Amino acid sequence: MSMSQITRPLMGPKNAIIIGCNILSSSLASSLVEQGDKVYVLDPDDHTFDWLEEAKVESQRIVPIVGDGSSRKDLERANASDTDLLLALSEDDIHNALVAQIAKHTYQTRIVVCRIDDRKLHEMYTAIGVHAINTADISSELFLGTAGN
Amino acid sequence: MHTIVVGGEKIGVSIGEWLVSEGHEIAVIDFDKDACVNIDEALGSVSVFGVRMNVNALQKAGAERADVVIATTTRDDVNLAACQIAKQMYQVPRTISIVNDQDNADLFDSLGIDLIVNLTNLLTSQIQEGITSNLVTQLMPISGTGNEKSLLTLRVPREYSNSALPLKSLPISEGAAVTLVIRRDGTVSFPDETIMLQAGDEVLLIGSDVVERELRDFVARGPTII
Repeated sequence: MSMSQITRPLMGPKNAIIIGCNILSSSLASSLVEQGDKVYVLDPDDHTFDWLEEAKVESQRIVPIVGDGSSRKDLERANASDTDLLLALSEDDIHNALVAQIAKHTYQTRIVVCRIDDRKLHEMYTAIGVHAINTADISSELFLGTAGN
Repeated sequence: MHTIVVGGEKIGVSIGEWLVSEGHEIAVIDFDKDACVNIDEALGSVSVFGVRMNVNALQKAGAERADVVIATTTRDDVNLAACQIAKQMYQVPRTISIVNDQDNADLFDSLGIDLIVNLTNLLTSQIQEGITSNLVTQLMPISGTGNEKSLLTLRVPREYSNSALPLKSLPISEGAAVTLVIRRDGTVSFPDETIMLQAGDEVLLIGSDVVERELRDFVARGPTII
């Protein structure tokens, strides 16, 4: 998978944080590690860490942390003050929205993207400057596109 | 006035009761069907069941004609989203939110929520007030000043029952101000140079954390014998 649309610093260590552990997080975490990142993945439920690529967890390029993405304490365990990329990808739209706004305001994280699958919420948060992606809309477009051809 | 309360737990229902008694039209949104039954029993048929916090939930509660939205749930993400949807989608003039995690107070403030009720702070200051040895307590933060001031209260301790304490001797540094003196008998005086405080009097003032500490040290030293 290509991640070329995200410009990362060329020098020095790169830390990224992913909130919510699921198939999407796992895939993004692996891609980021392949680009040289160390990726902290926060989820309150440690069973979800089964999604993560085992070898990368063992080599500590992916670091799973049991925690709440909206808690400053847990974010700091994930090195939030030294992170320039945060992706809020849990299945809970408004949780993602809160975490994204914490990252921007409290940690001035350079790139913050969150997943908001409710169409009206997505529209609203986009309007107030929260960088949000509606994964449901994007996948349904792909399905429709494929089905149409 | 149409007011929407988000969250129908104890706090939400209690606010709802007050609003109804003040003649407000209200709707109380909750995300639990059983809670909605309780709300309707306590307040009349005002509950709105929402599957989750989203635009539809506020719409069903009559957001387009709401004057106030009050978010009272134990989840800060729900409270924040409720206020942001109200402001952004429905231009609700006034949004009020409980903040459960203290760390979110600044964030909510900078995101434009009109009034933030910091539960942890409130509880702490009330408990401080209950501990009699603590004579200086914070009543509420004054927001929007840019330099972190609070409404403070100082209770003049027993040690001053034989020697009056001149109001002007209090260490009130720059930027702080005495607003009111409440005498032990309940009468109220505006501050002036001549006031002599006595044990049991209360002084209301506005000042920073530094002023609070200085006052606390001052009363802890007790009356000075000249």
